[in-house]
Amino acid sequence: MGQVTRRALLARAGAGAGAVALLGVSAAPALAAPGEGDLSNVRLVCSTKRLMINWYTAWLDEPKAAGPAETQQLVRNIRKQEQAHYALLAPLLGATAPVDDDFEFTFPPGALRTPATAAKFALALEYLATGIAVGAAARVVDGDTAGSLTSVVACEGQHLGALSALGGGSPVPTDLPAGLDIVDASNQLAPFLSN
Amino acid sequence: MNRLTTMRRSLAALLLALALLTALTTTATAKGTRAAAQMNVFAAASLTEAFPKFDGGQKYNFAGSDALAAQIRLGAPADIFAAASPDSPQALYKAGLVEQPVTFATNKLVLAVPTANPANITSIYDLERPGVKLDIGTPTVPIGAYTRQVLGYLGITNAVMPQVVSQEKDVKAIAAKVALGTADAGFMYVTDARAVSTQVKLIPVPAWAQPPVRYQIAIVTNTANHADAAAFIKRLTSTAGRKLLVDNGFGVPKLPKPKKAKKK
Repeated sequence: MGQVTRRALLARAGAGAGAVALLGVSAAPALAAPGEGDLSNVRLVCSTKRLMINWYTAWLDEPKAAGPAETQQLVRNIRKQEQAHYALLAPLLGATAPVDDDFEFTFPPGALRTPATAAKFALALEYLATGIAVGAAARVVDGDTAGSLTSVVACEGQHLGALSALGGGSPVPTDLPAGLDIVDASNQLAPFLSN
Repeated sequence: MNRLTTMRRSLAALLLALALLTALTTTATAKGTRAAAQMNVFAAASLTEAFPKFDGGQKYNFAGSDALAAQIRLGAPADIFAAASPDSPQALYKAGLVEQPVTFATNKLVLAVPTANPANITSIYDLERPGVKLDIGTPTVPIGAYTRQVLGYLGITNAVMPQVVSQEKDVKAIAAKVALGTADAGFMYVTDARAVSTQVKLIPVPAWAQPPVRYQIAIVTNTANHADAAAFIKRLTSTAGRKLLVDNGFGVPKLPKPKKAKKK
């Protein structure tokens, strides 16, 4: 892994936390040196963030699915949060942080057929991303890393509410998203994320 | 007399025509069908199946990329160097021993277990179980370096490294040992697993834990066959070359996206 100085890490984590704070949530800057197990969970979440960012970009780029202006703005806001999460966590991984070139992103045929199909798939994908983030937050040992992941989970909850409402459901879904263990998370990501 | 003269003239004309034809043929052979010199291609062991299919006319030296780089440093007569990671080609480039390397292929790591799977391994995390016999590459060979990256990315280095019973100098040795059942499991490239596909079962490495495996190729600076070496690399990176690599299980680097026309 590339060496990241503490000063650089502080600056990057601060910038990432600032971006999240601007979006209305608090974030604990990741200052400590998390261990290999913690970084593995961070890598899993960062990779998931690349998937989410690419999904929302695909949604906005598809005229048949983009929907009215207010829907597009909502999707842009969610994508902005996903980008902020990545910016918050990726510096912990240094030069080996996952980037788009590492992956092939695959979305189901028909997911971008209409605004409704896009919203439905986005909600399913957000449940997966939430399960992954909850599982990661529960597994990490380092307190600062756990704080950062918990901030991410809070935002994922906002996404679930917004997308549920967009699909005609309640903005406050009643189900409790369960954390995914790392094997389930990998298996459930596999259809959408490959190399 | 006249008849004899005519015959002599005809014979002379025929000989002249033959001489001209021979001269023309010789010139055409020299210019148009010059046989390319057979080159010494030093290539990563994982290219053992693919490269001879791509060009069967070269002399290949397949081994671990680090060993090949060491041979080139010692002056081994190589024309082309193809490695399973950018590390060795970039180091040789910095030393002035090869020209600018180019990425021509990608690959993925898998965990392979013998078909009988005596250790009952169904997930990479099963490698943490005490008693599992794992075979990996040495730290300096690309497959060994990539494997250590995977274990780190998965957060299981400390639990899994004590299970390593053997470290190999190239990926073919790992594939052979797993196929024979000498080891319970081994990390290899997906392309090498294809070569022993009837003797092993594969367990995928999650996409998020895959290191970027990039193959690089370069012309050796002191080659006497520069034009042929450049042509080899040009063909390898052409559409046909990329297709052959994909047909043999490799990935290929993404081509740059065409720029969108700006709206006026």
